[in-house]
Amino acid sequence: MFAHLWQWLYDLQISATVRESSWVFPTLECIHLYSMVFLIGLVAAFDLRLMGIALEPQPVSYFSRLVRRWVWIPLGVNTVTGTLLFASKPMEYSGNLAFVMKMLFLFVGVTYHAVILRKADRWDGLAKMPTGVSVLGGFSLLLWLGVLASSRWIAYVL
Amino acid sequence: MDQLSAVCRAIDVSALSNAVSGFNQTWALIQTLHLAAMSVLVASITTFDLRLLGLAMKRVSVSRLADRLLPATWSAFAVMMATGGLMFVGQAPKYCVNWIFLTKVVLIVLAGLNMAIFHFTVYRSVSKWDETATTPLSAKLVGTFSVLLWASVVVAGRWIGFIA
Repeated sequence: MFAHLWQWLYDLQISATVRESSWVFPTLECIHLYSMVFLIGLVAAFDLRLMGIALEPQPVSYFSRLVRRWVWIPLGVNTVTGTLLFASKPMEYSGNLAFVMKMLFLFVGVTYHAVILRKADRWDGLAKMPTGVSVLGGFSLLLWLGVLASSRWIAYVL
Repeated sequence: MDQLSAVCRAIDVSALSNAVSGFNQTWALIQTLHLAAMSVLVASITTFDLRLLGLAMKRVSVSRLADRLLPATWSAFAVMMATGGLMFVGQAPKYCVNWIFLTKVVLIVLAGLNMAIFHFTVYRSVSKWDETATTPLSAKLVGTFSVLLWASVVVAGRWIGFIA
């Protein structure tokens, strides 16, 4: 379905560089990993707050503002590095079940947060988080664990 | 060095080692938890380092930020030690001869030393610079080393797989 797009990506000069150089791919991966640390760290802080586990004694809106302010940096870095990594071998990655699952988890996770982050402020001022909200936080954490697990699994499927 | 090899071989044949490395799902779970805890650990430490460098969270006092972040840092560190320890036990002979793994351990020790030195020297005077956005030069040095050391630990961790 996307065969033409994958071929176009593959044929790019930069894709060839990533593919053929001995150090570019590992370097991109390391940047991808280090940036992921902050993406997960930020998002987890917010999700934990929804579950009533406050890393700082602050209302929910504090954490949603924190995420909305900073998440663009690691998200942007990961999108750029991820795209470059993908472009080196689009056919292999798009056929890799672990990679496809990672993209699914990511898509759901990002969409989910885009919706929740805006509504989160309504849960300010509660002494105890309602069970439903805790479940939302927990579900999100599982989504991101899914991203981590499928990421790590990619190399084993290739 | 021979004694180290002997210890590693002994670990290799132990029941725990077989349990950990025998099932791919177990290994996957342990590695995933290691990655998740690593994110909390490095993100919390680096946030504090950025505060020392005057680059983030400037409105929060240094001591208050430390108090808030430390429980998360220590919990994550405990999970890292547990998952890392299990992985080491799972394939001890392989890791013992992997120079990147050994480098990673050294880097973690150095990062810990950096934090300990900070805690027992520079941090003693924190009440004098707690509320200010700029911190003493020594605090900035500690912060810089910390960011670099922990970034190196993350990279070294990934690199282990390349030198399998």
